[in-house]
Amino acid sequence: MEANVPTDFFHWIAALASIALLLFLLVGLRWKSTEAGPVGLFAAVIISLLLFRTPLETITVAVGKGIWDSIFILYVIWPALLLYVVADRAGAFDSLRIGITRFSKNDLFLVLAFGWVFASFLQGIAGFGVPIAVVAPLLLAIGVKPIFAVAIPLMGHAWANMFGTIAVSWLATNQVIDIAEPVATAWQTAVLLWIINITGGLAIAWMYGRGRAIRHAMPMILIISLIHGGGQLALVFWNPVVSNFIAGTIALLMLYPLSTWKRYDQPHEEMAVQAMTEASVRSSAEREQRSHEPVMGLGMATFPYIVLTFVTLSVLLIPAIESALGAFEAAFPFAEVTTGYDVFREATEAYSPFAVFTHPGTFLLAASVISWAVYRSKGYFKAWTRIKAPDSIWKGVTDGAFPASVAVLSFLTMATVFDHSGQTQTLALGISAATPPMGYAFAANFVGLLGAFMTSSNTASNVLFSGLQQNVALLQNLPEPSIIAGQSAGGALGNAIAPANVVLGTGTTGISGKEGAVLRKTLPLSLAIAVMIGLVTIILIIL
Amino acid sequence: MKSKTALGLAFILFLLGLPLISWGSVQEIDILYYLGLLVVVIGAALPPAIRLSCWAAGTWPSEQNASWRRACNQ
Repeated sequence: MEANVPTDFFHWIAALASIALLLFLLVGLRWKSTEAGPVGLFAAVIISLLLFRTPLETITVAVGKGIWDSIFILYVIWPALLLYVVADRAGAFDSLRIGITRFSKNDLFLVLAFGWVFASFLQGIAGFGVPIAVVAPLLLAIGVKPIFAVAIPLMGHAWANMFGTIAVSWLATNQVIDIAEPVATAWQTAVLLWIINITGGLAIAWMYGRGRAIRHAMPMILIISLIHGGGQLALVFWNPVVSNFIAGTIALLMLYPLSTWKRYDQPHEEMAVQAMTEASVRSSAEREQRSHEPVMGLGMATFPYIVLTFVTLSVLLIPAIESALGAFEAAFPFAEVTTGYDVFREATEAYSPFAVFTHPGTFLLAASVISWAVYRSKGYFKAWTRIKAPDSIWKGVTDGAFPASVAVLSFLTMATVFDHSGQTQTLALGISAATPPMGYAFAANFVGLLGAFMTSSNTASNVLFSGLQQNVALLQNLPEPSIIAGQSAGGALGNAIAPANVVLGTGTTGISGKEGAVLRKTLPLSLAIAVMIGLVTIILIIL
Repeated sequence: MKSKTALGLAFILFLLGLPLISWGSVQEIDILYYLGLLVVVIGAALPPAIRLSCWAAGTWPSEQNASWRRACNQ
């Protein structure tokens, strides 16, 4: 049965209303995401019931599926917070802050190294919000202001979404549509992702210290982006599945020679730094070193992240381990539902099953438990308690996880209500009906952006919209590879502004409720990058 | 009610709704199904309701809502 959703202007505006309300509450009125999210959800439900002929049964199933989708993300948030709190309560971040100053004396280099290069590497191996949840507290530890500590990895990791996590989004797109020209689609996607990569690096430098920071960081940005974006572009011709992982790993290794270059080994020239706390990381670290010795060395301070990388790579790169651990899947069944506009969702025995033991949350949990055991055996918790009296690990985790969890649950249930009521299709079809072919080529990435904004997932955005994009490309006689590439790039970029991703960072940096302030940093930058992607999509078509 | 308590309660209510909705929908047991939705709606309504009550306590200060104002600041 073909869905027959209304695409008139009134319904299009109605479908846009709950997203606009959510953004207005978050960004305009600066409401906390725990308050704005449920209001957005209620608005989406009311609009579905009144204007999209959605029965209460359909809404209920959509809400149930949204909660299940959220559990997938919550299983990253809770263990990521646990990892952070375990490290923090053992004094690892204090030691990291002091120790890192011996590695490089250049704050801008460190911010780019953590916020761009390490975040991209983590997206390549783990994904699902791990880069934000892990890197934001690391940036906080080296003296980055909390709002920037969240905004920086959001901008830094976005490009790695499509081919990251062993190309899960690319594989999912191949499952939902029959891609006629896979090589052309892959390389055009890689070209557009390169734009997100290099502008991501530039955006981070801009946030750090405007034009002077960009000038200082330019050689590093060009070298890393050539490896990230250029490497990925070259590798997709050979194997898209490992293209991002290899590029991300080489870039991570490249940090060592860069850190020995005098330009990035020594403090940068005087500039108005926006992103760091007033007492610079260096002076604060030196002060702290005078007041007390760090409880551990730099190696032990980074131990949780080394364990995380080791555990993740062991599972990903050894097929026997992956297949054994991947055998256990969890899922819930749901009944079939439909709407008055024939939006039909089949009954399912196992909705969106996920393999618990190969989920990144399990890697984070394993890293947390191992780190806790090692830190405890070495007496770091007691040593740090003598210097500072921190809260319990449970309090530290729940203070961040409760607000983040309620926000994610609200956003994702809103997204599934949107999908099951046909509002998502109304929005996308409305854009395609109202725009001429080249206009649509420009707008294709905005559709992907919208999908990722709603679901905080490049994969979900492509699953939702790739079929539609393919159909419109056919109807408007546009080349399919360029349109799917636009969709995929938009889906990747949308992760920089997805509220559920923002919450991952605010939750792990102790600034829950400041999501609007983070979005005010990433939203204008992301929209500007989306405009660039739209223009390059047109160029790809003309060429 | 403290904000953290409300968020913890909202989180538990959301999670409680999932098995009720899933089993209710598959087994076609309407009471489970709608109970699940009700539980989620209550959970989702808690944080905005706290904000509304804090706003009201700040707008119309009185002896009675003094305890609310204290809770809002926690």
